[in-house]
Formats: sequence, C-alpha cells, structure tokens
Amino acid sequence: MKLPDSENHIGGNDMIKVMYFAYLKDITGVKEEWLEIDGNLVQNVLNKIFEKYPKLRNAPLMVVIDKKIAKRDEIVEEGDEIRVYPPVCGG
Amino acid sequence: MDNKVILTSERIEISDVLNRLSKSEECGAVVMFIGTVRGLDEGKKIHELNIEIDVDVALETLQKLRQDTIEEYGIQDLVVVHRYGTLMVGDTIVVIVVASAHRKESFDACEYFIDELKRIVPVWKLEKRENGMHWVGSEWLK
Repeated sequence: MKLPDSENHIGGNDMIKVMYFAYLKDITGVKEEWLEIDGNLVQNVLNKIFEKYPKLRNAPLMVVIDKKIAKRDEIVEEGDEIRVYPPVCGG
Repeated sequence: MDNKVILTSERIEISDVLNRLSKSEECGAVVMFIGTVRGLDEGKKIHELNIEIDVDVALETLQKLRQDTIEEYGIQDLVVVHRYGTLMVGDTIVVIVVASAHRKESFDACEYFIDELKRIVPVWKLEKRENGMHWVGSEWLK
C-alpha cells in the first residue's frame, strides 16, 4: 500500500485477491475471489465490486490492506490482499 | 502485550481479566466495562448471538488502539478480552479494564476505547431472533 504518487504500482488491468467478511459472503456467494481491476486505486477495486454486485453499490464498506484501513485513493499493489468489511459492530 | 489483548471463543472470566492488569503503587482507580448479550433488541426477543471476528486484523488493531489509549490518557494499563463464536443471552461479549492514578483518566480512557473498538475493529454480530436471523448494522441493505 503506497501513496498515489508512488511509481511502484500495478498498471492497466491486473488481478487482485479480494476477501469478503460477515454477510458480504452471503451477498457475493464467495469468501474470496480474484477480480480484474481497471486502474490501481482502492476505489477502482470497489467500482469492480459494485459492478459485479449492484446490491453493494451504496454500501458503507470498509477496505483493509495489510491490516490497515485503506482510503479510497490509496494505491493497490500487486500481491495485496484486499479485505472488504461491512460496517463493524463489536463490543 | 499478548496477555493484554485477547480474542477467545471461551467463556470470559472477569477475575482472569483483572489478574492481567498491571498496577503500580500510584494506582488509585480501576474502571471496568462489561458488554453482554441483550435478550431484547428493537423489540425482538433474541435467542442466541453469533460473533464473527477477522482475528488477525482485530488483534493488531486492538493492540495499536490499546497503546494509543495508554499514551493519550496517561493510564497505567489496559486489558481487553473479546469473545467470538456462539453466545447466549447474558453472556459476556467484551471486558475492558483500565488502571490509573485517578478515576477520571480511567473512565475517559475506557469510554474512548470501547467507542473506537465499535468503530474500527472487525467484529460482526448475527442475532438469532424470534422472527429470524439478523446481522447487526445491516440496515443499509434495506
């Protein structure tokens, strides 16, 4: 995970591993999958997810990369595992 | 650090959590928050609660949150134990215990910690209600 001005990023269309948690698994029907992403930002990954699962389009999803919350404009690098969470509610 | 942040599928013993707390001679306050499974939510009777945690991320997030809270509030120690798996009504979900010289720091730190835990730690609850299953916080799906 690097800032957008990094030169070390994936280019064009790449395959990214995405993992779903809690009831997102019910909506997508899978725990994890590889998605072909157009672009290299977290937002591009989300756009692909929204396109594939329209029910999630307005979802307040949280994205975690390398165990840290990732902003929408962060760069996704080759080999990153993208964890996608619905709103959390511990305690 | 490992014995200060614990995620477990086992029943939580309050005395065990307290025993993990470190206190110096200057400590004059210990504050504890206990979260339990409620039997009624939104007017619906609850029979069971299933808690899912993304364990690796939750552990790291809680460890960082603990360290930040200790530094920010000047408390002596903080221990948190969170349960996952299947729980029954009345069971303990989470225990947070804080030690400090005076009570205000402990109260404030404890409130901050549980608020942040609810905001950023990857934990989800599936309630088995009298009228079916319900994921807590999934209202946006409607």
